[in-house]
Amino acid sequence: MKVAVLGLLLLLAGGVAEAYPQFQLARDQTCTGCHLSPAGGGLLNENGLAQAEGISQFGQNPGFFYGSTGAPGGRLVLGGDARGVAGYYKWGGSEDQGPLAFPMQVDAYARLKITDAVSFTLTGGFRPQEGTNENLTHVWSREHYLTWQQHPDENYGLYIRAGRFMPVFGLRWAEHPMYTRRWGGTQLYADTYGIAVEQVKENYEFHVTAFMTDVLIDPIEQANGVAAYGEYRVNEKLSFGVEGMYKTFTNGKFILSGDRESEYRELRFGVTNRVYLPGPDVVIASEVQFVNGLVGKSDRTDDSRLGGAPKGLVGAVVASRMFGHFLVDLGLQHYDSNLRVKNLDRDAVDINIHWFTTSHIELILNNRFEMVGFGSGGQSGMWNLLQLHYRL
Amino acid sequence: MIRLLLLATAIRLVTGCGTIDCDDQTYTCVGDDRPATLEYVTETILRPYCATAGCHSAFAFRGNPNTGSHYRFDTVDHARQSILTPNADDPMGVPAVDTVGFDPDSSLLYNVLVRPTGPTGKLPRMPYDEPLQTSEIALIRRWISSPADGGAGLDGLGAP
Repeated sequence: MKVAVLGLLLLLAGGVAEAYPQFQLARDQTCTGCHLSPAGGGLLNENGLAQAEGISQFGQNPGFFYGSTGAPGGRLVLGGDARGVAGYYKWGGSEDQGPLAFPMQVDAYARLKITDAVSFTLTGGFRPQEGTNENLTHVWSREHYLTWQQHPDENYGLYIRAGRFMPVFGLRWAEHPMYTRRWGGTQLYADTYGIAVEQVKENYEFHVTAFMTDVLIDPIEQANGVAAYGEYRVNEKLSFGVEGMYKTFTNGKFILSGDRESEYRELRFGVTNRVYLPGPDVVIASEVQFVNGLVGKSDRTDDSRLGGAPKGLVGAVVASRMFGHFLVDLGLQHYDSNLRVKNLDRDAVDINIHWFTTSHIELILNNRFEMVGFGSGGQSGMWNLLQLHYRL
Repeated sequence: MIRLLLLATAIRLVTGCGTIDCDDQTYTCVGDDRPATLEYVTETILRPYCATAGCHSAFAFRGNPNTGSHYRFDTVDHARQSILTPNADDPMGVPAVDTVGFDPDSSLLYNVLVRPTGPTGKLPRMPYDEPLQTSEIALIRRWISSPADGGAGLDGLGAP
């Protein structure tokens, strides 16, 4: 049976990891300092490639296929990421543990400049197959969108994007198991169709995204909504952000349809903070969200309205430091989906160690220990995973 | 860093002390006014914990590879369909939810949540990546065993 479970894990547990918010402030002020996308992730610009080479132990040309083609600045920019992971997990009793291994990500990126100001970005790759439609769901395009950029050759200015992408919200950690992603409104593959208006300046940025249920690809979440995130950089060492997201889960109905027999509405808002401590060379990044939910059509009497309106909290604090060619993250995370229920909360301690070997190859050791209700609300667990990342 | 640790500890102490208290042996709660309905269970438990990228969302639509049954819990409609899917061939030999006897112990859905450890028997414990909290399992147990709600809440929102 363990083989079957391992097989399940192989099939189910793929993922995506993208940028490193840990570098913000320590290495550059904005995501656009290293990435072409105003939200970060995906293709790197010239500075991002230089950073990839600079932090690696053995160097190499950092460009796509070692600089042979598709370099930033050209009409067509190309890139990609491949990741695989293997490790060990344990939950609760002695029999609920074992090795696991799975391919995590195989994505190719392309950005085509249509005019100086307008470009088309495409992310395509393998995906977890849909159980009842496996033959047609081996590959997909997670992202595809048009971008209008006010200053095409700069990292700052106004951006407008339309298409399929992840709504921009919060610190946007690369690791999708981070509570502020997993439970924070932007879980893995929650990309969907929307329009984003984004302004990125040296000392501030804001992103507003209106999004809707994906009617073309069976989605993770069937929700319409709007997300907003703003960040103000007080100086080169300190920034604060505010965030808000409203979602209405539509039960699969179209955005304007009133034909819903059930509904869940969710408002989440929160704050972020980054501080760079130059002495110890540490970046501390924090995010806390308050989540106010309302199960719309549940039968509730006046004296039990609280019961159908769970209020939750999700947050994370991560301290990151470079040690030569190694990046070490220490993270504390907390999630409580309903503050009125005792010992419902989860807490996790993460230690991630990244080794940047060449400009293209990274080894990451991910470690997590997690408790429910500090051990009183369910089984505790842990995992140790070694991840191999190859950036094309 | 010490201040941050103290802040994190304070947040945990404040948020882990609700008034609804659940027993991890009997899966019953005191003072629980959460609605034991299909809608509430789907939106607050099944969707966030089970309808993930690689599991029981419409995106992945995973199921039992031994029987070919597939389950989606991302919407109330999908949850109802999945729960009412015949499971006669499942290794447990029981329906997803016992809509006749209202007995959680005879329901596949409940059993995969509470089996004590992992892959010793037939299906693994679910969710396989992180077990549900005691209080969430207790709400599902209460929902399955409440005939007043129209048979585990399945009739409360219309026919599938």
